[in-house]
Order: sequence, then structure tokens, then C-alpha cells
Amino acid sequence: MTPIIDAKNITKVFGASRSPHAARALNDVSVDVYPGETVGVVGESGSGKTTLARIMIGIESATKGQVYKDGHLLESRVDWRNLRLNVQYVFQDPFTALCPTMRIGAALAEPLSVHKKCPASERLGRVSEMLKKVGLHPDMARRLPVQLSGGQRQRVSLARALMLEPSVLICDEIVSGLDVSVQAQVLQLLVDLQKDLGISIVFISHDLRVIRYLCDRVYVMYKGEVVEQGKTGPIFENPSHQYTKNLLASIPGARHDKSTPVVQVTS
Amino acid sequence: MTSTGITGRLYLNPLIILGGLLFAFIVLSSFQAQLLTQADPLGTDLGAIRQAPSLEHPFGTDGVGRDVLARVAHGGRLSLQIAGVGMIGSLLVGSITGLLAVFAPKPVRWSVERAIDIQLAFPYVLMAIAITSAVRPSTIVLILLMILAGWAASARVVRSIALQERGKDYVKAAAVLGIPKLRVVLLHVFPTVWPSVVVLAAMQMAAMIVFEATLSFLGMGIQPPTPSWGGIMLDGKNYITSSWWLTTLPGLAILVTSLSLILIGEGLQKRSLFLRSRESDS
Repeated sequence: MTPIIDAKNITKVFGASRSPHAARALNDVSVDVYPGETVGVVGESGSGKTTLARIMIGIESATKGQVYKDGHLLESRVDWRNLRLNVQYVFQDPFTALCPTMRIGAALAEPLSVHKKCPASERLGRVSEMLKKVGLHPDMARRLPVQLSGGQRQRVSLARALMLEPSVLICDEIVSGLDVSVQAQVLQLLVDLQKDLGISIVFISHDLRVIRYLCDRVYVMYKGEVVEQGKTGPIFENPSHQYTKNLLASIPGARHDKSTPVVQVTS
Repeated sequence: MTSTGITGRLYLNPLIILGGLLFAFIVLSSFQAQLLTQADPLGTDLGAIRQAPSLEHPFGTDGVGRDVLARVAHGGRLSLQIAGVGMIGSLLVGSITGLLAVFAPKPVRWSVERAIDIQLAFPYVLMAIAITSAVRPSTIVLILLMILAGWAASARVVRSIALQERGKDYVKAAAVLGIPKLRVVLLHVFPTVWPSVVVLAAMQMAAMIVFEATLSFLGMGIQPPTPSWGGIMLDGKNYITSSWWLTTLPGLAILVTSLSLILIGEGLQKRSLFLRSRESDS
């Protein structure tokens, strides 16, 4: 089976690559996503998770490496534009991800009208339907983002990303800005949506419990490199890399294994 | 959580109300001058030259016996019209160039930024003198001069706000959704810049009133005998030691008008800051 998205040997350097101040955000990272699965990318802040996700959708360009969609190398602007009809992205901060002056309904209808996905008369219906799907009342369409809570805004962001019926959804730390109780609701929504729509999800998080709850496979990132990857179960049961062991040991309430000292890994 | 729209309410503050009342008074007395005085702004009366303010002539009369109040009231009409058109023109040019300086391809962005820098470094009165010495002054030329003098300041304000907005996630989100850039700029970014443009409009209008008066006073604006505030002051400048009312009272009209507009501008600014803080609280 060909992966829907296959990012190969991605390296990203911020700043001029020869400069002593150049920051190497990603070093030879490869990630693939197959239809219908949920892939977790986990790591601490600054490990390159978000940069990787942004390269996968083309908001950021890689210094080295290629991204393939269904086995085709993405080269031109048109390739990337077509990719985005199929792969969508949900941003971390629900407070800046929605245009502050645009009503929810207009924001959701916009991708439909721009891409001529359906006749104008059906748009309103599609918007209401999607709002219901993410657990919001269709009346919300008349509101401005200011009038919504963080959890509601994140649901709207999800709804907007789903308007184009993508086959992959990249979720960048989408629950980290939310209250714990709201987090659980949004995660449950994500699980339900995936069952319902059969989409693939790339779930980026620093929270291992969330990853374990949600993901089939997981990539563990540390300082711009993938240090461990594989099925979620085995990795959580039997981590092989020291960094993963430390991460797991740091989960509050996790059984503390005396044999793994909590120390920094020297790279 | 409320379900009423924040745009539906006005949130006026004392500055806006005071400025608005003053400005409304000026506009009314300029455009409906006959309510204020029946005197003819062009009618000379050589039997009554340079008379001090009295009940018959509240602002006195000028060197050829014309009623100064009538001239100030009627002159305000043209001054306000020209300043208004100049203000709208400079905001339009400023908004377009300001947005171009943020969202256009790099060479365009660079050129626009340099043009703004050059324009801001150029003394505009000097530029106006240079231009009016080459072409005959007329209303159109005057308006173009005002746009030339004002666009760069508005462009810089629009640019700085648009620059902040460009980095926000909703602009990136629109790109991810495949929404065309022009649409993003006009429908997503510009509405967030708009409140600042409104504040700018009041401030620019005040500047334009003064600029028009300056040019007319220098003889490069509205040509006599048509009354304009700067022109009336120009007429009166030879008598400044003996007939104070010929320069002081039209000057006062300019002062009150620009003051009222600055008050409105300050009030609008406070209002938009207040609305923004409410927004981030929720």
C-alpha cells in the first residue's frame, strides 16, 4: 500500500545554513501516513514537531528532502495547492486561527465557494451539518469568533478544516491550549470523526497520554530527529531509546521504573 | 456569553460626542450658511470697509467691505469639501499601498516601502510650491497635492497593522484552505485594519483642513474671489496690526474644525482600544 503522505529525509535549517547562528530544526526525518490511521508525533517543545507538520502541508519549505503524495513527488506550486485540497491542518492556538472579523458561517462557507465544491444554495446546509458534526449548534454560524470559548473555537477550526473533505487531517497540538475537561471532549470528537469519515490523522502533541489514547503508530522526536517509531502499544510497553523511556517515566501517575533514572540524554 | 453583536452598539465616549458636536456645528454652518447670516460673501460695500465685529457684522468686514462671517461660513464649505475628498483619496491610496507593502511580491514590496520613506522625508509644502509653480493652481491640483501629502502617513499605519496580521495563524489557515491571496487580504486582513483607518480618517481630515488653508494662504490654493479659510487670512494679513479680526476669526474656524476632528480621532482610538481589550478578555 502506498502512503497518502510520505515525507522523506526532511532537513530544515532556519537562517543561512553556513551561518554559525543557523538553527537545525529537523535532521533527516522521514514520516509516512497510511489511509485511515492515526499517527502520533510526540516530543518536547523545540523538538521540531510543528516544523515537520508545516513542511508536510507546505506552509514551510524543507531545506532538504522530499514530500510525496500518493507516491507522487510534490514539486510545483500547483502540486502543493492540490495537496491542500486533500490534506488539511488544524492550528494550535484557537484564538488566532480564526479571522476575528468573519462570522463562523462565512468562515466555514468560504472554502466551499472558493473551490466551487457545491452550489451556493447548498452551502448553508453544509455549514449547519458540519457544525452539528463537531458538536456545535447551527446557530453558531451567526457568531463572531470573539463570542466563542476556546473549546468552541477549536471545534470551529476542526469544522473548517473538514469542509473540503480532506483525506488527512494534521492536528498541531490542538488540545494543548484547552482546559482538561474540554481537551477530553475535543479528543473524543476527533475519535468519532475519524470513525465517521475514515480519514487519516497526524496528531502532534507533547502529551504522551493523549498520544497513547489516540494513535495507532507513533514517532518520537528529540532535538530534530526521530529517535523511535513504531506501533503505539509496543513503544509504550517497551521503549528502546533512552529519551522515550524518560518521557514515559515523566507521565504523572505512571509506574515509576526504578531502573530508568530520569536524566537528560546526551546527544 | 452574550449573543448580541459588538458591531451593533456604538460605545461613544465624551471625546467623540464633544468633537462630533463641534464638527457638526462647523459642517452645518458651512453648508447651510444662510442660517447663520444673510450677508453675501462676495458683495462689497466700500462704505463699510474694515469695520470691527459688531451686531450687524459679527466677524467684522474686510478691506472691500465684505462680511467676514459670511465669507468664513461660505469658505468653510469649499475647504471641507476639498479636505474631505483629499482625505478619502489619501486613505484610499494609503490603504492600497500599505497592503501592497506587506502582501505583494518582494520587488513591489520593496519599491512601495522606499516610496513611503522618500515621501515622508520630503517637506510637503516645498513640494506643493514646486508643483504649483509648474501647473496653474486649481481645485483638482489642490486635491492631488493633498493626496500626495497624506498617502504615505496612512500607508505606514496600514502597513504596520497588516504586518502584525500577516504573521497570525488565520492568514496561514486561509492559505492552507487554498483561499486566493487577494481575497485573504481584502476579506480577512483589511477588516481588521479598518478600525485604525477610521481613526486615521479623522486625523487626516484635520491635517487636510490645515494643509488646504496653508496652500491657500500661500496663494497656491483656491483663487480669489472665491472664499476659503486660508484665502481670507491671506486677504487680511496686510491689516494684521490694525484689523485683527480679518486673520484671527478665520484662523479660529480652522482651529475649531481641526480640534473637533482630532477629538473625534482620539475618541475613536480609545473606543477601538476598549473594544479590543474586551475582545481579548473574553
